[in-house]
Amino acid sequence: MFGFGGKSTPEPAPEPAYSVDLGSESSFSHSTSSSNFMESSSSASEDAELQRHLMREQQRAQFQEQINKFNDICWETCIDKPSSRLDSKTETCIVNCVNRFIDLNLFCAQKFAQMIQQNGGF
Amino acid sequence: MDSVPSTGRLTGAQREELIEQVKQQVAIATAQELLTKISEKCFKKCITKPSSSLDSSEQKCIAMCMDRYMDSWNLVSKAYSSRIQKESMR
Repeated sequence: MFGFGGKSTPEPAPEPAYSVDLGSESSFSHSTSSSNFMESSSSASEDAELQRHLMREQQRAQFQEQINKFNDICWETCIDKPSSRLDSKTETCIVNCVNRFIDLNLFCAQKFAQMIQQNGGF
Repeated sequence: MDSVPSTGRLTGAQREELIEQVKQQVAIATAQELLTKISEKCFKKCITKPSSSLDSSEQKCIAMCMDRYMDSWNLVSKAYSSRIQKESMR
C-alpha cells in the first residue's frame, strides 16, 4: 500500500515533485521534470513513453496523497500550539510519527491477514 | 488542445501538451486539498472562541499555523522519501 514490501522487487523511489517555497509570497512552487520527446517513426515506442510519463505522474499524485495523509495525522499528534518555528523536539516527533505510522500499517496488514485466515473469512 | 489528426495518433507536441495538462491538474488538485486541510487545521488550533471578527492575535496565529503546517509538510515529505528508499534497498 505504500509501494514497498519486504520481499518484493524494489520499486523506484518517486522523487518529490513538489517543493514548497514559503518565501515572502508563500508561493507553492514545484519543479517539473524535463520531457524529451523525439519525433520517432515508431508509434509503439511513443505510446510506451507516453504510458511511462503518465504512470510517473500518477505515482507523483499518489505520493502527494500519502504526504497529505501523514501530515494530517502527524500535525495533530506533534503540534499543540503553532509557534514561530518547528523546534527540534517537534521535528523529531514528526519524523518518528511518519515512520511509526508506516510500521503500524504494515503490522496491522499482517495481523489482519492472519485474522482473516484464522476466521476463514468473514 | 488541437484537433487530433485523422489517423488518431497524437503528435509529439500533443503528447507533450497532454503530459503538461496532467501535471497541472495534479498540481491544482493537490493545492486545493492542501488549502482545505490547512484551513481546517488552523481553525481548530487558532479559533477557540469564535467571535464577531478575526482579531489580530487570531490572524497572527493563523499565519504562523499555515507556515508551520507547510514546514511539517516538507519534513514529512523528506521522511517519507527516506523511508521508501530504505525499504527499496532491503
